[in-house]
Amino acid sequence: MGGACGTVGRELGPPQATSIKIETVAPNPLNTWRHSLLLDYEHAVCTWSAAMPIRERPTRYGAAAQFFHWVIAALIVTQFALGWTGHGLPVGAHKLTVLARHKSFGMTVLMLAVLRLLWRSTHPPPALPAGMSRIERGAARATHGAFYVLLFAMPLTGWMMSSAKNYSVSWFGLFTWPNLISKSEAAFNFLRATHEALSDVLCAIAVLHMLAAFKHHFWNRDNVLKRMLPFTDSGRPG
Amino acid sequence: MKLTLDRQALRAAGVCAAVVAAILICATAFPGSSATSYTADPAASRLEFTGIQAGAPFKAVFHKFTAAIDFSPDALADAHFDVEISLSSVDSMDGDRDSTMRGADLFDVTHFPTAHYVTHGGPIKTATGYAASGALTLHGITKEVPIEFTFAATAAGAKLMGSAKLKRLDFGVGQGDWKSTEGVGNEVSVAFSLALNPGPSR
Repeated sequence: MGGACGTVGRELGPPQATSIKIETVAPNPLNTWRHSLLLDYEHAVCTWSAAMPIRERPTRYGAAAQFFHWVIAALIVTQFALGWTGHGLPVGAHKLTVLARHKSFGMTVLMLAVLRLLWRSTHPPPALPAGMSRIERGAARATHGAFYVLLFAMPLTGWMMSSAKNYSVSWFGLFTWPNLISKSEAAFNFLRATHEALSDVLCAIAVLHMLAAFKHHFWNRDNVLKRMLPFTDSGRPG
Repeated sequence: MKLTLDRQALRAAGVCAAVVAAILICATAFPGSSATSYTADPAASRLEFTGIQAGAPFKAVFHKFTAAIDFSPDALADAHFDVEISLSSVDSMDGDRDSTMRGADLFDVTHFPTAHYVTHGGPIKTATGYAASGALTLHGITKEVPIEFTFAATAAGAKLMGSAKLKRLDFGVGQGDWKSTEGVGNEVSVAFSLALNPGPSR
């Protein structure tokens, strides 16, 4: 950890830097900003996070990324359970209660997705194992990209669907989100179909994602799975 | 004898005429001494309620209702409101929700097609307007529901705006699963804005 700390700024470098680690950073316009942000906060974070790093080490995800990953994963599983239960229930008080929870959790996912995207855009993930082919890297990038798109698309289509039905979305009864669009039966039907279709896509990608993680762990025997697991030591390079 | 009787009859008639004249003069000179009768113009009036569904508020209006309002600010004791609401005219901008509300477990419009609100006693003046007590009959159950309102004369007649709060389960609006307040809250707030035209009560 000590090695990562104090070197993060140099590892990321400005966009034109030629450090060995720069390959882990996808070139993007945020790089310069990211660089200065990291230098600004490096001291504070590093002195505090020596035991369980909040930020990414070269070989594993940091605590913040792990928190986002596992909390959102648990919420998505819950969302499938609530969504399918609510879908199958007849119109009634029970259905309302189940779907109210579905909406509250969904809005929680949306808020976490915003934070996660901000975090991810300033904290690049550890590099993929060196032995992966271009196709594998492309597949990994596409899968992760699709996850991020769906993390926004799922709650947003759900929120719009509720708006189109004129059923405002509450967050656990504490406050009410504004309606995104006005009442429209046609929009509601379209958004419901979209929300359901996207949930199928999300389910398929999640299965792919898990299979890939297990393939890396049991077949390639690299640290791709372990580096996202809390309470494990995956300090060794993948 | 005949003459005496005629004189007495004439005197009695004269007294009666004087009393009637006095009443007419009083009524003309002090028009506020009794309440004026109005009826609500349905097109310009609005009767809505706000409930809590799945933690979020929703609004619904009743398109069909009649309101006979006897009110005058200087004859509060004579005030009397009589409002009848057609429950099947409920409109919350969602057909599923409306038909659910009309159903047997909620309004049960088949058995209780209307709600009826009648004030009793004179309203009292408050800092912001008036407060009246009245009884609401809904779903076959009659309970006290106080209202607060303001009254303003307009070119056409008057504007009566106000609100009330009630608990739906007090009236048994919510049977079966709907007895739970988790999906739909117990508290319901009512708001009304009535455009009153001068005219007799029913």
